Order: sequence, then structure tokens, then C-alpha cells
Amino acid sequence: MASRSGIIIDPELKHHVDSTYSPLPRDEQEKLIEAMLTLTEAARDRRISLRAFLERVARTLFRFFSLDEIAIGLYDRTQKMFVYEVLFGYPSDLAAQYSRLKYEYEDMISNDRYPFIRTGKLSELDPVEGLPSDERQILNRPYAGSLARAAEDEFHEGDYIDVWMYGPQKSLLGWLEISKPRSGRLPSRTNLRWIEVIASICSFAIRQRWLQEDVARR
Amino acid sequence: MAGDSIPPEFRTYIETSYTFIPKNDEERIADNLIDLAAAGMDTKQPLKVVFEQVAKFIFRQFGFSEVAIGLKDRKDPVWKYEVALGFSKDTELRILKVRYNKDDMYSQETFPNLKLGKLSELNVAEGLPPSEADMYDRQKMLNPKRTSSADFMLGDSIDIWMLDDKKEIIGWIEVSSPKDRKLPSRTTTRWLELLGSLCAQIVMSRWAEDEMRSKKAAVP
Repeated sequence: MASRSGIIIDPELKHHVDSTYSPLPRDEQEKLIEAMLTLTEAARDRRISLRAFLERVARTLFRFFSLDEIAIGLYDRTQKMFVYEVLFGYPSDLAAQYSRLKYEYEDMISNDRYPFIRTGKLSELDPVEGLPSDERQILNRPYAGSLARAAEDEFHEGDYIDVWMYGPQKSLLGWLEISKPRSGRLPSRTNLRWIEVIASICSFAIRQRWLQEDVARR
Repeated sequence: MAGDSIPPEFRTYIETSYTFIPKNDEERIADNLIDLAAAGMDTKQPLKVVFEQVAKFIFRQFGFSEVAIGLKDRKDPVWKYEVALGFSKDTELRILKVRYNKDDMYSQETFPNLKLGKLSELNVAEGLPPSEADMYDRQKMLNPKRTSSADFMLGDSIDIWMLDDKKEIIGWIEVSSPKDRKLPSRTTTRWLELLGSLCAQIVMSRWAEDEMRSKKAAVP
């Protein structure tokens, strides 16, 4: 390859680089990095609506982390409440019920109403044993939680993990809610870390779109 | 507390299984990305401080002894370094004074390079312009000879681009002098690209904040 002042890049080096750094991911880890990279690009692409972006996020979680139910909620700036925005993998009647739910900030952070166990900097497990009875009715699982756990890493019907999306000064922008892992087991700690990274990417996507809306309004 | 309580043995199991201390490289990288995103979102932290955190992370995690991070001027087509880690004080001062134009950033002519990935390229020492060799105090490397294609020579550097939504370069991370003196693995370049892309997101977010602030200030 000749360029400035006839400088020639050593053909052997070029061959080595071309063959070593081919763009196709070669293993699961590289595929995951590629998926994250694609999400960061979509996060800052103004042509992609927030909802379309969050749907992509849900598909990525479904595909890479073998989760069958993914809900993504947002702070609704008009209602000043937290609501579900995307419900992926839920039966339509259940999705319709979830869509009607609205939460106050206190609901989101309270360990009293939804007892949880911290699983990471941004995540917590809400075991079914602590689920309020009214929410068990929504799930159509009134008896969920009454069964003993056969194994410690078993993911029970009604368990879910919340992964928080924070804005400036720790303001809560939204959350990822994951449940129904295909393995029936709790996600690995490493996978949960990656889901936390995805939630962090979501925070920027939300923040940027809100700022764009605000700038356009002025 | 409403609802049933969480069985204590289950709580203990979760708390011990999901400790916050990373247990391997993958968890360490993820952990740092989460921290960087939080720092990037914290508008009280200047961008330069966030970039210093990025540079230290690359130094520690990926074994590059020299890391520089640059940004585009928001209004003019001028790019300059904001952070330079691992260089001598004199070199650092020279680096921070350099200004690049659009040709420097986009043209294959000024800095002959080889693509490593979507967002990264290897700038080979063989093509280092004399002015750059001067800047890095690498005159002795102007006529380098590669003994192996896997070698990372003095004067080689890798650029990782931060692109905006129009694919324009808004910043870059430049790494050089790997401790093992070898080109990085493909997976490492992918991690660096993800990091660069997250930085691009942080920069765009900060710029959007600035725009909002100036619009607010303009309202009588």
C-alpha cells in the first residue's frame, strides 16, 4: 500500500493485520462485544426513536442472555410516574396489564414494598417470596412463592431482576426487568455485569433523546 | 414489609454469589465500563476527568504504557489532545499543543494506516511524519525495520475513533507502547472499540447538555 511520499506498508504486515483482525466475530465473547458496540451506535443515532432503541435492547437480551421475558420501563416526564415501555416475550393479556401499571418513585426504591437483594452496582433480585399479593394476582400466580426453592440458584416463577438506569445526580430514568431465563437458573454474575453495562448504555440513549426534545421545544 | 419475607439462607446465597469484586478480566472490564458510564453521566465531573479515568483504565487493563485522548472542537474542524498519559512531561506538553485538521484526521495520506476494525486502525511507524516523530521524541525510529509482523514498534500507534451519529470523528483514543511490544489481540481491539464508542456517547451527551444550557441562558 503506497501513500504519502510513496511510503510502502510492508505487505507481510498488511497480510498479518488483515488476517488477524477480520471483522467477523469469532467467538461468543466477540459477538457480545459486537452487539454492545451496535447498541452504543444505535443509542446515539437520532433517527432511531427511543422505543425502537429499547426494543433492540430487549432483542439483544433475549438473544445473548437467553431470557424469555424482558420488560423495560421509563420515567414518564408528563405523568411523573414510572411506566412500562417495552414488554418483550410476555403473553399479550399480561403485557396489557403491565402496560397499565404506574409506579411512584417510592415504589421503585422501597425495600418494604418490593423486598430485594442487591446483585450488583445497578441490579437487584426481587424474589417472588417478597412480591405483594396484588402483583401476584396480575401475574396470575397467586400461589407463586409458596413453593420451597429446590436449588439455591433456581429462578422461580415470579422472581425478577431489576437493573437500574440512572441519569445525572443519580436520577432514575428507567429500568430493565428480566425474568424467565431459559435455563431456569439465576444468570451468572458475569452476564449480570454485562446487562448492567447495557442498562448504562440505555441511560445515555434516554438522556440524549430527552435533551433533544427539550432543545427542540425551546 | 408487605408480602412474604425472603428466606435468610437464600439471601445469604445471593449476597455471596454476587459480590461486587470482579473475579476475572471480563467482569473487570464490564465493571469499569459501568463506572465510566456513571462518571460520564455525572455532569459535575469535567470531561477531562472522565478521559483521565479512561486512560488509566486502558493502561491498567490492556497494558498500553502510553494513552492519549483527543477531541474535536465543537465549532471548528480542529482536533486536539485533551489527555496524555504515560509520556515524559516534555512530550506531554508537546502533544497537548498539537492541532490537527480534517485532512490529518481522515486522510490515509498523512498517516498511512491499516484497519483493525470498524473503529480502529494501526498507524504504522514506517509512515510516521517527521513532525510527529519529533513530537514523540522518536527521531531514531524514522527508519524502522520490523523483525516480525506481530511486533508493535516504537512509533506505531492505534487510533480508536469516537464517531457521532453522522459518523464524523468527534474524538479519538490513541494507544501505543504495549508492555509486551506485540500487536494487541483482536478481542482487545474490540474491547477498545467498545470503550471508544461509549466515550463517543459521553461526549455527545455532554455536548447536548451544553447546548441545552446555552439555549436556557439565551432566553430573556
